[in-house]
Amino acid sequence: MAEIPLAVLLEGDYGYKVQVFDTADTMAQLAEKVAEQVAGVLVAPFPPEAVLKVRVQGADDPLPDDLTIAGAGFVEMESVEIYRAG
Amino acid sequence: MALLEMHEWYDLTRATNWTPAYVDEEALFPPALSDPFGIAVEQWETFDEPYKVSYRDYVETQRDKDIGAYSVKSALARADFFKKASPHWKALLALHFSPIGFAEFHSASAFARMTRFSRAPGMRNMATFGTLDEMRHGQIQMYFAYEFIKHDRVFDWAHKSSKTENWIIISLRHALDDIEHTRDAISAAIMTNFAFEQGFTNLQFIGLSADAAKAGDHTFATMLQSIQTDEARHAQIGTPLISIMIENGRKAEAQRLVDVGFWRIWKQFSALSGISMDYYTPLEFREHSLKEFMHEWVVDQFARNIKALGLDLPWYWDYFLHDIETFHHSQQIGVYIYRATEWWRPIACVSPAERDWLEEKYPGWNDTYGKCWDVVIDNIRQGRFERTVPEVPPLICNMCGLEVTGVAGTGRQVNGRRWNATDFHLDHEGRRYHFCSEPCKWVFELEPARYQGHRSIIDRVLDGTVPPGPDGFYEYMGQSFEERGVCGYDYQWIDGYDPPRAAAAE
Ligand SMILES: [Fe+2]
Ligand SMILES: [Fe+2]
Repeated sequence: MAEIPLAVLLEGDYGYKVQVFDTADTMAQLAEKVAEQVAGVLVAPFPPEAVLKVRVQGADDPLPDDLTIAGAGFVEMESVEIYRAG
Repeated sequence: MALLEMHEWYDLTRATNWTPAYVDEEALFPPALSDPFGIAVEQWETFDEPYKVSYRDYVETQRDKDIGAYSVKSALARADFFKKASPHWKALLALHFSPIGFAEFHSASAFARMTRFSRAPGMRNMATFGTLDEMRHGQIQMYFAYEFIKHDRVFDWAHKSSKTENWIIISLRHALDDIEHTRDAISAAIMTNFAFEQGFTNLQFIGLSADAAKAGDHTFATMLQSIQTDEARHAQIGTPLISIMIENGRKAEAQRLVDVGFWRIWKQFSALSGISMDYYTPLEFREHSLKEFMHEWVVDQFARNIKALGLDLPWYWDYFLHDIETFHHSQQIGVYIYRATEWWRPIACVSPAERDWLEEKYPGWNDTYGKCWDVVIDNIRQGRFERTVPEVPPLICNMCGLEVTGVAGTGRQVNGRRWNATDFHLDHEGRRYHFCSEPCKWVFELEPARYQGHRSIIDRVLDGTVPPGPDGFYEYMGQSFEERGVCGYDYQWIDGYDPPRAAAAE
């Protein structure tokens, strides 16, 4: 368990943010932490039923919700997109 | 005794190259500073300046220009223009004077190096005048800015800014150091005089001056025009240099200098002139949008100059055309929401009427950037002021030092545009670098050793260079508590949104 900064982009935002996470955070937790910071500030709040996914920038598919940052092998300042499924 | 006409003596007096007796030619003109391209001195001696001026004429013209600008200023000082100016105009003046004043003065050093190290006598003449130009209009801008200090401490930054580690200043300094101050005389001149000055200064000094005249700020308009006449003359240093490079088999090198210089300066003008023209200029005084000015002066005129010289348009031209319509809209969101990190009082400039104008000039604006502003507006209306400022910092480009952004919006197909912010990153020697655009990344990849040591303001936060704690960041950037930007309208700009809401509720 260690701190790791990532470059994150929440769907709808005008640009990337830098946020510090724990390497034990799962993708679901990562998405939630980003939404806490950006939804309701720069992006309209998501409806309660919305499911957020995480993918490495440039990838087509999301990573599994329960995969941890350590498990995903992210480097420091990895660029990831957080977007609404569906 | 009658004086000779200039054309009778100019060529003779211009031939100032000589054979050094005490040191060899290479010690006098080290290739790394004078000419890394290995072009023979006889070739440099063919440099023929398009606009010739004698020192006598130069001084006379400059004196008249100074008298013009200073007399307008002193006649209008009493009018107390500044006190009555709107927060829009005050923000615009701050955005112009505080980064530019000292940067111009510093340019004198770049021109002085051209004078010292160029092997082309004609270029040395022009660069000497360029040195004097930059001193004159660096001083004039700081002097005119300082007039406002008694009303507003923001203008202290006309000089102070250059000595700080404020993120916007780091961005500007990185670009200017790169193209003006840290290359050989020929490269610096092609990048500065051609790519920068011929390419872009019309934007700030003619475009903005038209807006200023319309707004009744005649002091500012006259000062801008006075500067532009300096720029227009010394900007011509670049053209004969490019011709000499091409004639001597160095077209590819000249092309690369133009491509790199043009991109680096575009990023600066995109943020500076883009925000000034499309946001900070009061709606009723806007002459043209940034896009319209860019198309007239840069996309048409400058592109013609490039081709006439025998060069090609930069490889990223299509991307550039897209950037003209997008980059500054995102930067304006960031400049407003991260306002405490700036020394002036940023304004949003997205009242209903201003949005109509933006939508007209940039179709699709409301469905993209407007979506982010809707959230900001809603928070202000609900009194959730703390939610108008993100707690997390933005990602900063490791080349231009501006935010890594894209087209905002819903993430779904909207009017043919898609939510598409891309972080162009690169892993190099164990470090991940981030870029706002393909060209910023390309510039880095051309010369990684030149750029890799630089750390963005965000890198400096992460590596502990910036002291921790709530005030550490501001102290590092040279901003006392009073010097942190607050909304220039104290949030009252959203008033225009209330009547429609009240009407809807009825
Ligand atoms: Fe200048
Ligand atoms: Fe960039």
